[in-house]
Amino acid sequence: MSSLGILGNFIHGTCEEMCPRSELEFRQRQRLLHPLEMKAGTIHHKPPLADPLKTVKEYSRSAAGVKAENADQLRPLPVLERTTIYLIRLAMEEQGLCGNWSTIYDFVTDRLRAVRKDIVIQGLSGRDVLPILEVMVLFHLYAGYRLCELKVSQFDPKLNNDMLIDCVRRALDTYDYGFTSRNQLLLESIFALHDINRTEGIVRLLSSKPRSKMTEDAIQMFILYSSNNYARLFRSFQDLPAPLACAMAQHLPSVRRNAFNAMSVAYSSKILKVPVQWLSSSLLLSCEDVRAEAKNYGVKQEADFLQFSKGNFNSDSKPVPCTRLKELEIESKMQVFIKEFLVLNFDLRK
Amino acid sequence: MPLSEIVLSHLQAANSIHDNDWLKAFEHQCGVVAAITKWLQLQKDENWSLPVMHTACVELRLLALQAERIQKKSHSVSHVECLEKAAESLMGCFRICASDNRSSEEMTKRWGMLALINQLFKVYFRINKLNLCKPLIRAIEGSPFKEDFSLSQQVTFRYYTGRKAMFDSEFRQAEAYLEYSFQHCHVQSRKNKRRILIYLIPVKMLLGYMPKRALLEKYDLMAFWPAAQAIREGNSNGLSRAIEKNETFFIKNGVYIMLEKLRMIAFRNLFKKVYHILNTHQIDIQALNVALKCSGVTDADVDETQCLVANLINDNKIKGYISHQHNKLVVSKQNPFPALHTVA
Repeated sequence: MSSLGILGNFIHGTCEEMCPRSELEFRQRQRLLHPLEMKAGTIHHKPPLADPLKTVKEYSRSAAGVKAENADQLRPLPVLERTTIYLIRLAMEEQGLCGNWSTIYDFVTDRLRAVRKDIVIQGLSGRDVLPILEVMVLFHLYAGYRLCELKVSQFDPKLNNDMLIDCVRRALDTYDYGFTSRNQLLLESIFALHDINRTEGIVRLLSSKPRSKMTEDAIQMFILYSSNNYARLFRSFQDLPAPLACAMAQHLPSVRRNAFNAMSVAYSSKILKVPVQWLSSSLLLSCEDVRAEAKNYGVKQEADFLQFSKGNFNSDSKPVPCTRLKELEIESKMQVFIKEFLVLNFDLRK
Repeated sequence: MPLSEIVLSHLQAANSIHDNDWLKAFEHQCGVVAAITKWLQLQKDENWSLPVMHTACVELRLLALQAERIQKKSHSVSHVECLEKAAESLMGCFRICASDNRSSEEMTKRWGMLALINQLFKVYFRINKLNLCKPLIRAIEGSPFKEDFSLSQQVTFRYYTGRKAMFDSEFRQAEAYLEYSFQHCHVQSRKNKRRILIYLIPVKMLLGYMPKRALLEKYDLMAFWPAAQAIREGNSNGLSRAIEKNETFFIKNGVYIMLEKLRMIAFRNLFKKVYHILNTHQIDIQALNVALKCSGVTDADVDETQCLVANLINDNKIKGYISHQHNKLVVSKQNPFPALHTVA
């Protein structure tokens, strides 16, 4: 967090608003307000007016030659908490312009990034920043799941992942320095599953004490994924707590690919067939999606059956893009989880 | 003059150690290594200072470890990533050595590469960044000196590349590397031989070779014995109990996941028993399911049974195919359960 040798002479912010006054006035004048920040009914004014209760400090990349921030532009911890709570609530409750939640996502992501920047500049660390970082992780996890079906031009999963990992790592570092939080096991579990193809997360998780149901679920999932036990994985997936389901959801396409691969060898036959219906319930896919994936992997189909053959599986094929599992209602469960998180971890009276 | 910088920083580091200020000691040692890096760059066609570089680098890593330990205890708000910083310094030296292409074979600094790589491995394994090992491994694999480095460095190198291969599920490679390391490790280095065995034993088990009790007793590794027995018998519940019994040991040494992977071997052994009992090459999946339940997977359904069988077939551990409609596993009449070491 601080570089070698520097004692840590950080500025202490004094801005008591979610957005520094100077920035609010500047952006209002220059018509740079986001629609979500405008006073109701003024969107067509010249210029639209800012609502100070809705305007939030923007993220601006630090660049050489740009003046460092003054204290009156930096928000102290209680304001950052307030800002985070406001943004997360917005994300959970708003449906977006024309029902397009990705507009909310873009706004909240940018403003949360600015919150993180204020934290870093002021050298804030320790127990107090943990709830902020932890809820940011949950937000990015939720967004990654909710928006997974959009095209890259509308939603970039890689960028979202980068931010998620940034928040996770800051939280993990804080735990490593000895600051505990009631949510540590949750975040360790999320990290282990999110980064399931690396060993770092699972090694951390296995060493964390005490174990909880959450960590046991995550460890089990990891083992099922590593051993390609797709049958039990999909069975257990349905009972995962919402954050773990979101973390795991991105890996399901490759689980299915590995399943199709194994089946192509094990069920290989010129005459025997496997019903699409059975695969649909085993792999948590609709029959239509089973057929689509089978096609993607080169598996032959005949009416309501698939005909597996060793040579047919297309080893160059990539897993199909992620989709949401609507019947499992992961989104709404995650929304509930996040709302409860806010209540349990922040003093909402402020 | 780098030489005076080296001596000065070294004395400052020694002084800080005397005062028990480990973070300061580490910072000074970083200065030592930085000065040595500069010093190496000035030496053309000479490599007599490599032992100095090596000693300084080992001490850097050890001080980084100690400084991290102390920081963790004191909950300091501003934290220095000592191990990361140590890795950077080590890489600085490494680059000088690796790029010394112009010197004669006798005088080249490339002879210092393997010792540095081993130090870097130790750091990367500690901070869990195994992916950073790959370019280092490539550097050595491509070196003409590969076989000519000192034996002790080669043993260490093979130990880490063996562990990495194990993490990457390249078990044949892992076996070769760890076997080399074990055989060439000095007979009196019991601690090191034991460390190598901690990884070699699970790898061997995956390849179908169960450890002898005498070996485990000799090296104080009886923690593996219940697991080995359970796997041989195909007893999934036994394996779970064995893992749980020595969980801390397995997790601390990073073989917990590996032992879970061995569960597939246990299932293979279990299914092989069923095959022999029923004495037919058309095995009812239901029978396999019953066997699974008896061995401890009490909530295994037919779907999961088929899934486990499918994976074993895909891994070439069972020769045959599944008929979903008849719910049967049809195995080859010839060697349906090939010896594990032939199919890994």
